[in-house]
Formats: sequence, structure tokens, C-alpha cells
Amino acid sequence: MATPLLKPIDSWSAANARHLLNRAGFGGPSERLTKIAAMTPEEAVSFLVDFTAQPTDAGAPEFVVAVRSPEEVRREMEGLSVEERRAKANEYQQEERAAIQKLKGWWLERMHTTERPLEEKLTLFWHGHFATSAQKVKSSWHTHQLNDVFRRNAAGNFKQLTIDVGQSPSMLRYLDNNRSTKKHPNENWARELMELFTLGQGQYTEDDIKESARAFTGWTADHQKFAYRFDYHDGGPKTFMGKTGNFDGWDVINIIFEQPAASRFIAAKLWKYFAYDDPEKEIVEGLAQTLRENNYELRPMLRQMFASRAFYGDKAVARQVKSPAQFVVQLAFDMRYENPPYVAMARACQSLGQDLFFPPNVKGWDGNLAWVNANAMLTRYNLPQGLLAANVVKDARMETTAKKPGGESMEPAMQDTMMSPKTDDMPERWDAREFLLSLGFNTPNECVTKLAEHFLCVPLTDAQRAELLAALEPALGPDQSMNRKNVNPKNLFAAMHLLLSTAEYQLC
Amino acid sequence: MNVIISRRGFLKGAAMFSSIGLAPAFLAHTAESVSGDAAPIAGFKDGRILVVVQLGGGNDGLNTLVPCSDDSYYRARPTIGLKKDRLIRINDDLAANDKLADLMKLYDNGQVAIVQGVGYPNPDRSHFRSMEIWHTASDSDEFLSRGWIGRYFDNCCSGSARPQAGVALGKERPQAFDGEKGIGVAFEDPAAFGWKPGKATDTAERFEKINAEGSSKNDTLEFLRHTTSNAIMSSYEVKEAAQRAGAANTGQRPGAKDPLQTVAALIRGDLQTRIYYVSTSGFDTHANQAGTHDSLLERFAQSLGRFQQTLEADGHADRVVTMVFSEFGRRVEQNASGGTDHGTAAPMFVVGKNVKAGIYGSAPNLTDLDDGDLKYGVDFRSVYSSVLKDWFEVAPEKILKKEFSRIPLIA
Repeated sequence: MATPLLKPIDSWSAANARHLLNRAGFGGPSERLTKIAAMTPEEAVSFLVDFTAQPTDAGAPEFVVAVRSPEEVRREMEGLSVEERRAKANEYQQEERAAIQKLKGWWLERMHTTERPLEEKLTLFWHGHFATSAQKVKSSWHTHQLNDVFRRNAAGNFKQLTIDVGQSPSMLRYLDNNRSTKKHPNENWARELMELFTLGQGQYTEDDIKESARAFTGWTADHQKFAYRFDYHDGGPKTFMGKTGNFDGWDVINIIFEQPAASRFIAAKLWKYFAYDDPEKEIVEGLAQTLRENNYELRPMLRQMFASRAFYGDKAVARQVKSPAQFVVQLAFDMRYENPPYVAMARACQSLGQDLFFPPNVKGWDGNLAWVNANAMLTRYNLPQGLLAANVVKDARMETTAKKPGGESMEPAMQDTMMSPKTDDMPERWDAREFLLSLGFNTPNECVTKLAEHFLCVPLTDAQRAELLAALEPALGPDQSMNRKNVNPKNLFAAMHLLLSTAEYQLC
Repeated sequence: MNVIISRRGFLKGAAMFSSIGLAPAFLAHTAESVSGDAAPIAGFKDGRILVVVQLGGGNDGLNTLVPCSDDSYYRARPTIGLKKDRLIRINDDLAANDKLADLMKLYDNGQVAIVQGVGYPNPDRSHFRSMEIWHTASDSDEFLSRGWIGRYFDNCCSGSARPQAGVALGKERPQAFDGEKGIGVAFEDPAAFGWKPGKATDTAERFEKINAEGSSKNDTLEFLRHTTSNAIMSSYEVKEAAQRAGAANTGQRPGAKDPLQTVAALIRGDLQTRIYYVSTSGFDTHANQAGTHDSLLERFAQSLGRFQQTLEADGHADRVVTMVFSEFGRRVEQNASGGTDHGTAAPMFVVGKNVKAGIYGSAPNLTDLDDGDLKYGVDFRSVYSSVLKDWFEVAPEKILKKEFSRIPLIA
């Protein structure tokens, strides 16, 4: 190993374990943290990277709508009037839209409950890397199918993943390759394949794009899977990256993966996703070399990355802005919320700028500092209120129905919080008081310390501690007379909202 | 993009407010803006405003402005070429897509400058790189992290400029706003832009204090704190402006309605903003372009038409110039999917009562192509330069680093 930055870490602490779980997963739960902290670094990394040893509940969710074949559609439409057909088509669309919305909650639930956190973290990475949007693809089946491709190949072989993605109906539709023909090749997929998926800018020419677009003609999809259409394919000779031959799509991908740039490109992007922006050259080169030596198998490189000293260094720890998905899932862990409102969490993600299955464009989400702007910060600070207030809202609702039938209901601030829970999203009650007391403390001062340790990966300033203490006092009473039974949930919730409304809580 | 805005730079820019952590100074500032005595932005000459509209995805310039007397246009686009009978004629050789009717009405009223064939040398056909070039006003082989609007704020709005001197309607803050002083905020819905505490009365004040900017060595943390300070400051002012404007146009759901109407409302509410930024998407028409592109253009033209009407009705039409761009045009020849692939030059529009209406630049030559793509005639920075000089009356060289020939777009 050439660079000291990639040398394996030789000491291990609870803080290291926490950092690893935050980055290679979505934080908590605390039992997992305790378990990993007690391992050696090698064991901890292996626990996360060799995740197939952990159980999983595979399988498509039942609400995903199977794609109808053209014959099936014809049969169902037969004998219907124009209006009836239109109504039927609308009905199909509604069905799809609803299923795609459900799929978001389904995925967040997986992120929260999986025994294989890195598998889901990588699936999210690949979704941002090979971005397709359900806005254009419009099918829950195809959307789930590609999500499944990401999960099955999550830490597998990058080249195989690229082929599987290129042949997924979702990508074939999203980048228009299903309509690309010999006579007029469509360049959309060919361009993004090189620019965004494998090589990066400057590693190919405009001619390489035009020639490879010809090679990919014929890669198309029938109603549910990849279909190679010879009548669309341009079988003639092409010159691609200095080589000439009657290339097809497979050949082009083979040539792309012969370029060392492919290994550097994905190594740098994975490091950026898991560790920090602007990685040192020697880190990228070291990881890229591992990738090449292993024929683009990802596991050896991931093991090297998560075991490296640089991964636990000052540039990495507590320097990353939580992605919206990370934010909501980690919040659920942090609050020890066993059955949180996943559908509401998906809406929250959307309002924070990460609408799962609807990335803004083919480049996916830029991540880290790009999550930050004035609006996003305030939205982040407003969101936890809905979750925190869940029990308060329920109580308020009961109070309102009991005391003031037909009168004003909950506090307006709670009503328009995006995460504002609805009964169907809220299968279980979350009890702020119970949670707080479970942290274990004897004085309000200790309470602040426990809260900060539990929620934040950076220390509070003295001034911040003072504000929190002052906010907690109405809930807990002054040090001397604290009576746990009298903790007032509303005041408690105000103090916790304050703690979560900090820049510190956005870091992981 | 790793853009850390220096805290020192920001504090210099916002010196009169001191830091947000010093509650008395901050509250004093809030009181001041409530009373309507807010200091004007330095260089905010006659309250002039620029609205930048981005047509994201690469607008097909040739189906926006059609070279209708050129047979090679119809040869290159046998199915998506626009038939002569559905065009709005501008002159013998040039016509507008009829979906631009509302824009062309403004043109007839002397309020639209059309600049043809805008691009830059050695064009990049990547959406992302090309957008970056337009946002930073760089050469195609030059990489700048700061945006041209950010550099304008840094150079020309000294002293009292507040974060909301630049306002982007949308989820993201455009790279064009990136500058040293960190001016420029983004939000979708003025009514939803703010922190919402529960009932505890002292919480808002505690929120300001707990988010005071500090001296941590963690750059990410300081960047977040700084953004929070800007957000708190701006959210109060935006809320006040929205209230002054009247609720009618400001309570829209994010993205659901016309963002230019939100801009009009904030102008009516007298928000101290010099540059508004609005972006749309969907112009990446690789397949089935015909219907999609038409409706995109129609929505855009109707939105601009309504915007000018509202400004006129509010008495602000003299203060506003709108500039419209896209990262590139499309390839001349249509592809097999009835769409067009990434190309190069395309027209820009500059709209407003103070604009000198007309056609600038020369029509793209369809027989003199660069590997199937149009050659540009006007560098986009010439348009920026003209707007900076003739609308904001600043020296464009300070912002664009180089001199570009100017076009007399503004009266």
C-alpha cells in the first residue's frame, strides 16, 4: 500500500464505530453501535461490508403493479368507447403514481429496519449515480426493478452493474435508448454513460459519443425487460476510443472498462459519498488500483476504504451534511422511534430536496454542501417538530374532539409542518417523556449533556448549552426539585426541537 | 462544488447587523425593516431589478425561432420542423413558434430584444458543464467556482447588501449566486420560508441564539451556521414583503404555480432584491419533442406575458428587465425518436419596458455547420456585459474579467 492515508486504522473507539455506522449506514440503533464498538476494526468493517452474512427480506412489495403486456392492454380496452379508454388509462396512471409513492416509504422502511445497512446505503448511492426519474419512467414496476438491480449489485461488480443498468427498462426509457435506431441514433444514453456513469468529462470525445450511440442501437426494452432488436442495430464498423470494429453495446462497455479512468472516476465518487469531497490523489489512485486488480469487484475497495486511517481522520468525521434520506432515517434511530411514519418521512425527504425515485436530473443529487441553502436549512429545522409532536398532536386531537367538537384543532404550526402526522401514517405512539427518561440523568444539566451526546457528533458551545438548559427548565424544574413524573411533554418537545434546529444536528 | 463562503467576507458585508448572535443588534435590525426605513442597497440605482430565467435542459433554438425560408431546416427536420402556416412571421426569413404568441405580443409592443445565435467558443454539450459555464461566465476550458451574479454582488453591492439582494425561486441556490459575501437565498414559497416554533414564547429568540455563528474549525459547521444566519435574516424580510404585497399571490404551493407571479408579488412588497432567479426544466427533448417543446414554450411565454402585465398594473414595469437563457440549443438534425440531441447556439431573450426591441445577431447558418452543429455568433457574455453596463451601470470588466463587445439592448 503506497499511501499512509489508506493504511488500516490500528485503534478503535466508540466514536470510530459511530462514524462508521453513520457513513456506511444511517446511524443507530444503539445496540448495533454497542456491538460494533466492541469489535476489532477489521471485524467491524467486515460486519458492514460482507453484509450477505446478515439476513434480509428480499422480494418485491405487493403493491408494485406488474407491467401489462400490449396484448393485455388491448384485451382490457376492447369494446370500450373513447371516453372509457381514457378513463381506464387514467386509472392505470393513478395506480402507478400511488404505487411509486408507496415505494418511497417502503424503501425508507428498509433503510431503517435492514440488518444490512451498507447494502441500503449503497443502493441509495447507485440511485443517485445511475439516476433515472419516475417522472419520465412512470412505472412502479420498472422503478422497483432498477432499485432491485442496485441492491443486488450494491457491493458486487461495477462493470456488471453498469450493464444491468444499461439494460433496465427504466434506464432505456429514461435516456431514450429504446427509441434509438440505426438511421438516427439517439445519443442520450451514450453520452451520460461516459460523462456521468463511468469515465467523467474530458476522457472521451464527441466522436466517441456519436460512435458509441451507434453501437448501442438495438438495446431496447419490451414491456417488462431488456430486448435486443437487431432491426434497430447498426452493425457497421465504428471507431471508439481508438479501436475500430463492428462494435455493439457490450463491446463499448468492455472498452470503457479498459480505461484506467473508469476505476478512478468511481473510486473518487464513492470516497466523496462515504468520506469527504476532494479526496487526495493518492487515495483515489490507491482505491482505483484495488478496483482494477479485482476486475471492478467493489468489496475489496470498500473494505480498504472503511478500514483506512483517512476515513476516520479530521477531514472526514462530522464534516458531512446529512442527505435528506440520512436525516429522516437517522432521526428515527436517534428518537428510538420503532415504527415511524415512513410515508410522512418520504414527504419530508422530498421537501428537503431528495425526492426518492425523482432525482432532479440524470446527474442525481450533488450531495453534501449542495443540500445547504437558506430554504433547506429552515425546512430541516421545521421538520422534526412533526415527529416530536406526534404524541402531543394525538393528545391535542383527543382533547379537541373531547372538549371542543368542531372547534379549532391543533396548533397551526403543527398542521403545516410537512411531517405533520396523519393517523394512517402513525401506527404507533412515540412518547417523548419515556424516551427522555430512558437516556438516564439526574439533573437538567446532565440531561443536556445526555441529549447532546445522543444526538450530535460535535460538542455544543457553552452558550448553546445555556440556551438548552433554559429551555429545558420549564419541563424539568430546577436541579434541586426535579421530579421525573412531572415532566411536561410540551416544554420537553420545545427543548428537543431547539436541539434539532441546530447546524450541529445536520452533520454526520 | 466546494464553495465555502468566508465568514469574514460575510460579516464585512453585513457589518451593520453585527452577528446574528448579538440579539439586540439583530432585533434592532428587524424593527428597522418593519418600520420601512431599511437602508437601500448600495448601487441599487432607481431600484432596478434583473430577473434571470433559465430554460433548463437545452432549449431547441431552431424550433423557437424558425429560419422559415431555409429549405435545409425542413430537410433536417422532416417531422418536427414547424410548418410555415403555424408560425408567427417576424421577417422574410425568420418566424417565431406560434406558441410564443404572448411573447411576440410583447415584441410588437417594443418590449423584447431577441439575440440570435448565442453561445461560446468550443461549446460543451454536457448539461452540467455547459450550465456551469453559463453560471460562472467562464471560458469553456476555464473552471471558476464563483458565479457571475455572485461576483456582481461582491464588486458592486458593498456595505449594506443583505442576503436577499439575490433571490432564487426554487429548491436550489444557483451557482451563479456563489460569491464571497454569500449573498443570495433560495426558497420556493415565501409563506413557508421561516422557522416555525411551537407555542413556547421564548423559543424564536433561543433559536437565533443557539444558531449564532461561531469560530469552530469545522468548515462545514461554519458554512451551515452562516447559511442559517442568512436564512433567519432573510426569512423575516421576505415574510414582511409578502405581507405588504398581499396574501393573494404569495401563499402558493411550492412549484405548483407560476414562480414569476411570486417574483412580481415580492417586487410589489418592496423586498430589497436586485436579482431574481427563476428556473424551469424539461427542455431536454431527446424524444417526442413536438408536443412537449410546444407546451414548454407556451407556458414560458404565457408566464412572461402575465409577469409583464402584473408589473405594469403594479407600476413596476419600468424597474424590471428579464433575461432568458438556456445552456445550449439542440442539434440541427432530428433523431429517430422525433427528438433532438444536445447542440450549441440558441437565441436569448431580453424583455422589459426599457429594452430596445428588435432582432440582434445574425440568423444561424444551416449550411455552414460545425459537425452538424450551429456556429455561435454572439458570446453570451456580451449579453451579460450589456445588461451589467446598461441596466446596472457597472463596469462589466470587473465582473466578467474580460471585455466583451456590447449590444445596445437597453434604452
